[in-house]
Amino acid sequence: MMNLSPLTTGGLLTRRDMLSRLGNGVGLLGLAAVLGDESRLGGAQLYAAEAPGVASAAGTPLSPKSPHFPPRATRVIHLFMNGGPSQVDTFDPKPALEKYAGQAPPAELVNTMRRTKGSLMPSPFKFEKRGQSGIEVSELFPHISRCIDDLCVIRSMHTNLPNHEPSFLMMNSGETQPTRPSLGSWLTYGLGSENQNLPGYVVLCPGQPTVGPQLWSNSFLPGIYQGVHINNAELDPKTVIKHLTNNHVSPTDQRRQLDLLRKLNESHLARRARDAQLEARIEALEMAFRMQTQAQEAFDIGRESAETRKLYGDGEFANACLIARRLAERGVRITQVYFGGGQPWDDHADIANHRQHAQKSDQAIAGLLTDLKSRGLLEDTLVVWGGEFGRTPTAEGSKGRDHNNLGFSMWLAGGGVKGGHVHGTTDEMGFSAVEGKVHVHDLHATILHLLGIDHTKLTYRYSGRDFRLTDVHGEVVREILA
Amino acid sequence: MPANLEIDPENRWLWRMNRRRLDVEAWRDALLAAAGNLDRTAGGPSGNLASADFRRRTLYGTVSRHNLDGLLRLFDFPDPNITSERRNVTTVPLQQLFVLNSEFLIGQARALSISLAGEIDDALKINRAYCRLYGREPTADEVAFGLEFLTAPESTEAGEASPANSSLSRWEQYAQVLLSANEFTFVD
Repeated sequence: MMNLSPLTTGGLLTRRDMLSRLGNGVGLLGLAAVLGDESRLGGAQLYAAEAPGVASAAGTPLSPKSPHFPPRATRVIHLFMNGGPSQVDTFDPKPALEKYAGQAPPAELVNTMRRTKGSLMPSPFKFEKRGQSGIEVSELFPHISRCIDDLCVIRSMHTNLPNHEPSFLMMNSGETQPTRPSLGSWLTYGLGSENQNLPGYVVLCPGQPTVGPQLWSNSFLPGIYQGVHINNAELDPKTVIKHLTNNHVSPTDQRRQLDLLRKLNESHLARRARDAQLEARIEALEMAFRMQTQAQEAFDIGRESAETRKLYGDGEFANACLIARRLAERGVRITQVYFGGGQPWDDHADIANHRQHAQKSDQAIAGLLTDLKSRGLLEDTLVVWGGEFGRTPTAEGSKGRDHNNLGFSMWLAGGGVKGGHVHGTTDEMGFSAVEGKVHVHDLHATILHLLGIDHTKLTYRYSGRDFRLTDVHGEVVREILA
Repeated sequence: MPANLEIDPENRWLWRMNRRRLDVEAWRDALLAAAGNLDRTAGGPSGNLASADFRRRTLYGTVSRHNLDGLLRLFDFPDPNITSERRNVTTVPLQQLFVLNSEFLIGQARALSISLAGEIDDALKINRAYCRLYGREPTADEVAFGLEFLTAPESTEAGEASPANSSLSRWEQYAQVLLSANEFTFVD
């Protein structure tokens, strides 16, 4: 049995260390499991607890790692419609609401835990069968409707609580309280990222969504796995990442500084035994230098053709979707795009306001799907659309809708999901998921599965036990896998 | 020591202390102290780490549970909402961007350079810098590297607007390199 005590190496192993210790016969496959069990390596855990495949070089926690099994998708774009779009007005038509309009709903159906006890209110928007699959989509999304044959609509989502904060946290981190790493953090922890010159997990939001930084927090995972939040209301490629630009030294002079730095660091290293941490920092300094130009370029949508800009349309959200595509093709593992600051889809007062939100997002989202497809990216990019919960089929006031956690709609597209497919149903009025229920935990398990990860095996030992995104819950929804 | 290094290079038998990276508090304090900028006032209310005026020990920086200060988070300060039995030690390019480009580090480089201005001779200045930052005298090679850097001619990359666009003097740039080196960041 190898002695891999972290005391000897400060917790990190170079590739040379690993190869020299393994010698003959012991394959690298078992190595990660051994390291994963070594809870004392927790301080510098560079590998998913069980990540088969070649382990990454020490000191580069974002290096790409192999998943548990071959993935269908290698990156995620999560379009977060914060505030909670109403399912009966978007992707879940309920003719019964017309029939029973103005009446109180049957008592056994209503369990929303909210105070509002209004009467059933039909959707002011018309639904139509779209595409070859004939899935009904509301008139709010004429552009997205044209992509319906690529979408997998889930009508049977449900979550724990009908309040924004816990539901935001649940959708992002699998827990209603702010103490867990986010989906993006788990993904970059498990898989790293394909491009070391960009962050692995990017969050775009004009301002901040309700709850804020906790939503992309790394919590107990190492800090590198935190989402990089970018306020796209004021997007300047030079300042989009903190400290990306040097305002005092020309690039030539900085290069000269780095050359000297490298010489000093290498002579420092030469006077000591091999040390993974020292080597890692030498490399990281060089990477940072490259990042300055490459990251700026990635966020510069001015480089896109006029035709592409037209495809997405105008506006903040459209630009954010375009950035998401640029990041995807440059290997960023997961990009979240929030529709707006706060919780804009939260139409308590007047559900007709959904039309404005739809107008700002419909073309851009369809543009993103079309663009990804034409570049051959859609087949291994998983696109997720939805909010933190849904809305009541009953009215709040005279024309609004309150929160509803018991049943709501989301859709997935791309890497590994069935296109032109509907999964699950809600009851006749649209309150609760009844068939094919998908809890947020199940959605998380499925997303991880599509990226090649067994959600029960991507764990991290913290505070005495193994944690995972789905904690002790979650089942992969196999019916939607292509 | 060379004998032990041959027998047990990986320190399995713990003949010496393992190398460790300074945690963010010690590192930031060391940068301020090296530059002669550290305010050692003890006690009192905490202050804003992001502010250029805040020069007290990092210990006195306000810790927000909602939105942890960027510098702290960047250098592995644990999430204040939960317990942490041991800090992570990650080495990532975003940290080095801070080292290369932040106003904070550049400010300390400037101050360090000013504080060494007493010496006229560059080689003596380099000597003083090494003694202060690394607790030792520089080797002949290191002095040579330093002098080479300080006297290198200005050059223009093709495409740059004009030569010598830097607002940092050559000595200030050199001071920044010394502060950025591994020897300053890691303790043997």
